[in-house]
Amino acid sequence: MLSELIIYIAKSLVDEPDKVEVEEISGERTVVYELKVGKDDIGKVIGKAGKTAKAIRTIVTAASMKVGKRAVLEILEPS
Amino acid sequence: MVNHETEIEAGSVEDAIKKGLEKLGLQSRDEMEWKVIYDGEEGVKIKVKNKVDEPKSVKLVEEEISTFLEKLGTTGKVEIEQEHNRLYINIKTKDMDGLLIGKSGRNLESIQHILSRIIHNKDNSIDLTIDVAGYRRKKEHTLKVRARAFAEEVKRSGREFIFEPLPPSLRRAVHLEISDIEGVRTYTIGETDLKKVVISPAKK
Repeated sequence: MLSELIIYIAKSLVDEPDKVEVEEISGERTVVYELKVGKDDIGKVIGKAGKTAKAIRTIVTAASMKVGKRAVLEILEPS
Repeated sequence: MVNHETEIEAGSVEDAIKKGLEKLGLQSRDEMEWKVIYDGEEGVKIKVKNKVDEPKSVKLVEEEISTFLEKLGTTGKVEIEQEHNRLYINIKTKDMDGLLIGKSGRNLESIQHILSRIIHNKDNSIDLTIDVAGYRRKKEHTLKVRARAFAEEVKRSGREFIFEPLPPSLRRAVHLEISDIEGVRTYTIGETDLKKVVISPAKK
């Protein structure tokens, strides 16, 4: 469910929504979400001074509290 | 930016309107509002701004917010009001208001940032203020009352007062509230997330 939220937000922010991918890595108490976007879109999900990335993390954390499992969002640098 | 509002000077009102359309990048005068500020022998001055296409904007905002709520795993009601040049959007969810507001409204600021970015990407003429369960309105009201009291104190003592760091919307509220009080002025100090409004005695 949280991957869907992250995909929705990321796709709405970028120029190339087809290149948005989220991988979910489930641990015992924590789920790590790895977000990948197109090379030219990284700035769109990070924002000025990291403001957008921080806002996405805050929203993901709030949503995870409802589910009851800690969520960590990693934004991967495009290779 | 959005909702450009600008003043145009020209020889006649007709010319000023044409110039205004050009300046705002609009095709037809239905897309623009204008007001004549001055019309005299030396020329005219008008104020022009983009017209907000309300039904269309409201529909877009409603759709986008209900998708957002669905992805968050909740449902809710969305109230939309036109407030100056902005849309004021109050969201009431079934079970997530507290989480969406967060400590001192921090989560609400994140939601404001993300939703306005998302909606701007689809229509950059829409400026919006996001609220959850009326939290922002209440906070804004309290802040305005405090700002007025501090302004009086600044006038009396001649010393500056510095607010705690505030998000952009609340800084705007303080600036506007103080702008009609004589003898004081406001400005902003600090960087990014730590910007603070200062109320200062006006220079004589």
